[in-house]
Amino acid sequence: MPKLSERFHKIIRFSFRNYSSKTETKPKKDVDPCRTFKIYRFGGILSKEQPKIQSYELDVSTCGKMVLDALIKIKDKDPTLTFRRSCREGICGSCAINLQGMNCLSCITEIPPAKTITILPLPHMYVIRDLVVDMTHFFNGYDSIRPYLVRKNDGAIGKTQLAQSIKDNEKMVGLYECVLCSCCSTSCPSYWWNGRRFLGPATLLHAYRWVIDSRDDDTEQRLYELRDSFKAFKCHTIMNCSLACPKGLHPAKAIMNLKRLISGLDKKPVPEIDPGKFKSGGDSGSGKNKKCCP
Amino acid sequence: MAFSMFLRTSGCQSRMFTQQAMRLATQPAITQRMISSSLPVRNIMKDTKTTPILNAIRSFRTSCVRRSAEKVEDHSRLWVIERVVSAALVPLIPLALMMPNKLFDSLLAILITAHSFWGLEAIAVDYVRASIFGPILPKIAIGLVYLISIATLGGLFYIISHDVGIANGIRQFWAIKSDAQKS
Repeated sequence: MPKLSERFHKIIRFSFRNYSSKTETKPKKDVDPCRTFKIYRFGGILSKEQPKIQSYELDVSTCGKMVLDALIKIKDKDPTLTFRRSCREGICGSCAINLQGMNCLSCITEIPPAKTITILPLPHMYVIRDLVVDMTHFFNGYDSIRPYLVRKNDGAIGKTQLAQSIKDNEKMVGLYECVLCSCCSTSCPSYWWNGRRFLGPATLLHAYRWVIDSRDDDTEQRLYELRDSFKAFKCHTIMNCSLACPKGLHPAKAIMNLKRLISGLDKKPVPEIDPGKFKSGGDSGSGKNKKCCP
Repeated sequence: MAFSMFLRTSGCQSRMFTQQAMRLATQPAITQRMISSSLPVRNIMKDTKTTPILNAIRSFRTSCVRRSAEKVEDHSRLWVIERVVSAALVPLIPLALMMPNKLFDSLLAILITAHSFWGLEAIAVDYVRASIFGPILPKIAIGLVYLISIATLGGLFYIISHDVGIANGIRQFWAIKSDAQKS
């Protein structure tokens, strides 16, 4: 459990992130670069051993300043340490961990200025080994909301571009950037207790992203599928999700809008430009296809 | 870079090429390895369960069957009612306390009971889960919630009909004097 002052500071920083442009200055006290990393170790369900916390001493001035750099440096010394990582720039979502009690992406999170740094796997997920957790159920939930564009009888799919106005495109800003790291879902107590049936903030954010996409035609069915008491409505506006998102997204707001659409309080606006605007009549009209270079 | 230059050649720009490419991309993925690729794929694929490779965009499927398949209740209407009750309580409680009368008291009794019932029900459903407590205890928990809510409603209406009423009853707290004040 992180210190109350740290959590409070993070909440203030979260609210400032959106509303103020000046960077707040917190008093910097120099911490000794020799840190203790307490990392969760578990051999896996076939290993018959109990999980434990193993301490590693590391001089953080010898490695890069992100937590992933520290983990890689520790892995140099102890190759059995297992963790996921891929892009090292916060775009793949592989390296989600629980750092000092809060979920984050290790590749874009700086090593905090603390003497002891606790690294645990994502909360309430089955641990495959060390910091690697089983994401199957999370991805199954994501697949269940049909995360692809559905058009009514477009005939020749992919032949022409679908038109979308700039304002309609801006509706998806803050939604398309989600990398499915599951930091939000695994920080949601409702998803901990009812992850079997509650979809979780990440999936609901994506559900909203496909609902308000002006090019999508299947809105009614999408919202109809979310109407039961568990899929979307087990969100109790705990707001841990928006606090945890390492990309600065706001799943709680997306879920609020989604609930309003499901219940009929709001209606999805008509697209400003007809998405089928560029569709030329006929299968392969001669000379109608424009080429960039002849 | 070289590949993108290759794609810009006249051969790759032709309509025939793009048509063939789209046809290949949208063909159903071959799940069984049966026949060599020399045979046209369309003849083998009778199985409609395979999905197109290019499944970023799919055509709309009439999903009437799917709609009636699951008996799922529509919770969205109840959700709206829960919020309306919560919103209604905000002005009602101070108003009822300021002007004690039977109508406000009855309304208060109903709304408070409903609000606390939905709240306790959510707690029981969220926490008393069958995976921890077994098959019977969750049902008992929900039963207790119903019991408490009915008892609350009954008790509140008793106060309204046979006693001073809710608002007056709460106001009576301020009428309690300490021994020092009772001069």
